[in-house]
Amino acid sequence: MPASSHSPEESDQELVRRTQEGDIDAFDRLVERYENKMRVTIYGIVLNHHDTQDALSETFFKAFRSIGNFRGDSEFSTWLYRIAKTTALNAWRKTKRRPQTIQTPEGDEEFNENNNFIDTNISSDVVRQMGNQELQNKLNESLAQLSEDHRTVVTLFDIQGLSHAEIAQIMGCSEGTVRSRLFYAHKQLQKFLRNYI
Amino acid sequence: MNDSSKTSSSLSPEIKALLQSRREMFSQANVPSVLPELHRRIRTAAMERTSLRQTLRTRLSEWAAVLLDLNPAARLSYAGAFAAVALALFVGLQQSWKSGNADGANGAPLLTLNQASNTTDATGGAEQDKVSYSLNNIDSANNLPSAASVSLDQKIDQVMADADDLSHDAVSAHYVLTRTPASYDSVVAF
Repeated sequence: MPASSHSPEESDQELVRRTQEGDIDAFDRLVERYENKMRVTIYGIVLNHHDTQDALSETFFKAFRSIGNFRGDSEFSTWLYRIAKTTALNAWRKTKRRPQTIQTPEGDEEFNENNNFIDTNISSDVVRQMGNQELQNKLNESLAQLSEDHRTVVTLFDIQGLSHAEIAQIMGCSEGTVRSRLFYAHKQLQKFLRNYI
Repeated sequence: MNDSSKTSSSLSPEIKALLQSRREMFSQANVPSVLPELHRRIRTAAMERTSLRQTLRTRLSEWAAVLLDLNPAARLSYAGAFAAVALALFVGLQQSWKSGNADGANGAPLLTLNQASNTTDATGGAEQDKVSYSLNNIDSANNLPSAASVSLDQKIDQVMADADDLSHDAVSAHYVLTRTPASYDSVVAF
């Protein structure tokens, strides 16, 4: 579709309003704005690239179909994160029912080979010494051992950098619950990864 | 974002850094956009909706065309059959309404207890129970429910059911007419 002629500083609310009036270009802008954030979030839950791409497409498709009902009671991003979280968890449950596990899917190896993101922001020398791909795989294995709620909280807080209040809104629980889930998840991750880092 | 609300955690800086590297991993990676796939899905969904509407419209048009293409005799017979069905339905409904309004089983008059009273004869004689009741009947000449309600007082004998003789419990009492009311052929239990 053609690029929108509107200014790049348009707010989410404005783009949502235009989408609700039938302007698909406005929705494209929202997709471009949030695509990467949703991709990272979904990957943190489903832990493989193939399912991430499918769930990402499904997330935006659901958002497009339901945007007419969005009344702006919460931020658009919160609403979108909620859809992404639900879609990702559904994809994760489907993956778990499949006979083969998701430990090191071929798609992920291909993704890692094609994208050289090694050592981008990891400052520790220990981390540098280990292969980044192996570390990422170990992280995935550790995250996979967490419960769905704990994995989601870690993804939204440690990877996405959202606040406790935002996470509480997305997950439909109290901030206290978010804190306690984070505390437990961090302890578990520390235990799982202590031999590798 | 979470800087202001971060709490102390048991995560080592290395693991934190590893987790945060996920964001950069995707921002630097050459991952294809989801937009083309999204547009394809939106188009497909729109086409499916249009296709469904189109199919329905086509079927209805075909059916109407078949009906209109019938020869006049066939159209007349269809109309006659439709009228017959409508008439049968109307008559059935009317009969049902009439029988619903005729009170009592099989159209028998229904005797309705209005009041039961216990009186003592002026001469100081034995106690007498009297009932006042009304009767809804069918006017046989017009086959319509009769609006008139009839009352009648009559000496009756009281037979107590499930109660001792000292307790005149009106609710559990059975009233038995000692003679048949002259004006009615049929008396139903009350």
